[in-house]
Amino acid sequence: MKAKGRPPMQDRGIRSGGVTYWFFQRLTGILLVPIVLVHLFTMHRVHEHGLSFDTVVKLFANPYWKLLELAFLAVALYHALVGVHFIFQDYIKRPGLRFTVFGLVVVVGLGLLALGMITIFSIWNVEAARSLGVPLQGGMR
Amino acid sequence: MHYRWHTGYVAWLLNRVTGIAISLYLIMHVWVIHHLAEGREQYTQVMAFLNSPIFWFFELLLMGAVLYHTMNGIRLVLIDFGNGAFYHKRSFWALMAIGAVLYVIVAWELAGVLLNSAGGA
Repeated sequence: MKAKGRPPMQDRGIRSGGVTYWFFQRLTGILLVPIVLVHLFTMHRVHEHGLSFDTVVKLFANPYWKLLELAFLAVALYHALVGVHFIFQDYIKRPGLRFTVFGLVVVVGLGLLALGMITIFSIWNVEAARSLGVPLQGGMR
Repeated sequence: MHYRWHTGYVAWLLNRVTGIAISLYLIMHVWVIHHLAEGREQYTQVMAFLNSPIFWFFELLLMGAVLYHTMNGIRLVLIDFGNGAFYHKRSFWALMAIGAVLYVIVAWELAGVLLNSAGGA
């Protein structure tokens, strides 16, 4: 029997799992505060040398910095794209378009995650690689 | 639909606007910084292009957006996990005041570094 009155939750844009998204949005938001602070303060300090290729490569040669930047990349992309996704879903009504836009957001998110990871991993410990005779990519000869 | 310009509505709207702006910046940032993986020449060219007054202006806007989103985010955490709903208007203006002070400091520091990098280096 069809329910009278209010349409089912799904038709009102309310899906199960909404609370999980809300909770993770708050959690990642809290996590981003210290990560952004460390990122900006470090960049600010390094900027005094003009953010040249060498200073940035030196910074990224540090495995702890790589780890922090990887965490920043993943958490920031998650927080940003979940936010953008819910804004889209608030204004787009057509079910087909809603799903297409959702798919686009996921593709953009995964694509940027891959691109960012390639950037971070392209910079290895230059000195260690040199001493081991490992061929270095691009400008890191 | 008709909205009234209550503190909570303005805070929510600005949170969306700054969120979209920061997300767009994040997408551009990840894209632009991947030139780092393409070597010294590529990266240096891109950085030289970005070191211009128009991008300095965008950087100042970005810092404002990030500060607003952070300050309002603190308010949201107080509302959702504490009893911030009882003082959400007062906390909005208090956090905006702190944000304004922080913005002046950040803008001052940023202007110093940018003018320094324009002069030499």
